[in-house]
Amino acid sequence: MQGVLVFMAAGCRLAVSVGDVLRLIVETPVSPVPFGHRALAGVMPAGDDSGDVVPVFDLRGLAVDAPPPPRHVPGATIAVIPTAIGPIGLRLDRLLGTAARYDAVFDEIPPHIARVIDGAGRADVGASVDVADHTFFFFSTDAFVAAVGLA
Amino acid sequence: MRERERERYLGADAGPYRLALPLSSVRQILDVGAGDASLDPRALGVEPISLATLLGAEPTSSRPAILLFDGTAEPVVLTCCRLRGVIDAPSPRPLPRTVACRWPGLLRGTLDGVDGVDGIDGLILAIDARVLMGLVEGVADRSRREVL
Repeated sequence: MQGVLVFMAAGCRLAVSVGDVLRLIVETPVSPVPFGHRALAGVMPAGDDSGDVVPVFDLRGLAVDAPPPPRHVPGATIAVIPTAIGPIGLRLDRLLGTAARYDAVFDEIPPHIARVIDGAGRADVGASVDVADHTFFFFSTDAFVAAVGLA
Repeated sequence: MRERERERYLGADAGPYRLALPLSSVRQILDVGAGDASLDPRALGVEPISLATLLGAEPTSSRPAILLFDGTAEPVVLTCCRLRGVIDAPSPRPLPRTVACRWPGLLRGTLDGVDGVDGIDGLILAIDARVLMGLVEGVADRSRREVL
């Protein structure tokens, strides 16, 4: 079983495999992008020596009936995660740590993040639970890329 | 690694956006903005279009700068909230495909190697002037249809 990074984003407890996270960076000023997706806060330096930039996404922007997410959250943690078409920066509310062991359980998926959850819509899998009895959902990069219209 | 060519831009803010417009596309700076004296729009002869509004944001200045561009069919007058001066920088670094934008051709990329500005208050987005003019004319066409 691969360890996972557990974090809060858009008010939900989510996780990705530790091996799927390129790096964690601190949010510096984000430059907004015209005609960007609602969940796209903007772009910022990727935090490596390449000079590349990374788009910063805030999952709160996936809820159409909620106010748009803040453009810039100084000092927020950004998880840089690779996808099939390039890296994304995911703005975290809070980094909760890692979990080495967890079990599959079923739990109701919060509707505003349902489109980016691995296994959403399946009756047998929805959530996982770690040894401290905290439920979390697996964030799916493929589902996310489709949800923001990048696929 | 081959060094990227350097280009010159006019730095401009439009609402929340920090932009770089190719200097060769700006025919004239009609007004640098700021100050107290208001400009009579009739003096321009052409209705100015707010760049911030064009890009879907609220303008942040009541006394914008005014720029004249060569449109594809006729001159285009755009207002922007603030001018930041001429920027000399290497060709833009393309945005990753994960930047979810409905007008991907509008943005050529981000500027780096700009003395004293990058990383301090955000990256500068380099605009493709030709696509911008297409956007202006699309909006003008839509307005004309609405009037008719």
